[in-house]
Amino acid sequence: MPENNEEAILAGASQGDVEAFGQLYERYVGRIYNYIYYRTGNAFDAEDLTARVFFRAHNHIGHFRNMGVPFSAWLYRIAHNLVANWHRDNSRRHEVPLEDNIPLHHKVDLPETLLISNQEMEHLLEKIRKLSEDRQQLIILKFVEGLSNAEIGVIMGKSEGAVKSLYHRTLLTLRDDLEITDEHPPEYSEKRREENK
Amino acid sequence: MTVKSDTLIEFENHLQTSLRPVNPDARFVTHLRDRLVIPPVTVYEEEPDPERVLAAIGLALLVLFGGLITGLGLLTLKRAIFK
Repeated sequence: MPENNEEAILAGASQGDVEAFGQLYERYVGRIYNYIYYRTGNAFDAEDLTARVFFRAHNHIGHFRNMGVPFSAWLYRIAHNLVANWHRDNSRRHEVPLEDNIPLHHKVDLPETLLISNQEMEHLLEKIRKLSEDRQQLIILKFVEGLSNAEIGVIMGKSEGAVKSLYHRTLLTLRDDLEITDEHPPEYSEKRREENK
Repeated sequence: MTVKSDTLIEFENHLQTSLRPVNPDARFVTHLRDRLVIPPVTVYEEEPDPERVLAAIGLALLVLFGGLITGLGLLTLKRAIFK
């Protein structure tokens, strides 16, 4: 969707055009769902929070135009706040086992050489969720959503340089954390061992 | 400038292949769109029928004047009897 076109759709949506809001919804629902899914770890809460994000956006879109950020950034910020509240409210809740929530394409879409086991995936997600909130957000936006550092910067309210720096530090932390628990691909650990010699 | 080691790049690739987008349930997407886009049904009160309104007003006036005339008649009769 060209940016100008999105401007026109946003203008319509902010004036109460429900069809215009529907177009925005269709454009962003998958991305917001993915973000929340990886932050919560289960489809049930991801659906519930995704619905809340869009209802909140629907109710406040009239005020959106004065905020000076892209619509996607605004949606991610709403999602980020709702996920933070969700974690706070559920801090005592037991984590949902991830085996049932591993996306199916991990099992069927990838070449055999790239397949990772559910257990590895579970450990990886577990480690990611132990990162600070902004680092989790960065990793998900970078790898799941495929956004650039500049786009991530707009969403997170940071400069591109700050994102780049945080990204590098996060990668190192995550890699070292996984290395300690030995939850990385065999070829990767082999190279690390050689490097450490 | 940060120079990434081979293993860090490899780790990046590992994350790239592991953390892939998932598709939300199509039924959920459709249902939520319907809830957002289709406006709630508004029930308007039926407008009253003007003929019925006139008939009701006429009946009310008839009862009012009828009562008034009856009252006055009874009062006159009372005065005539107990004069």
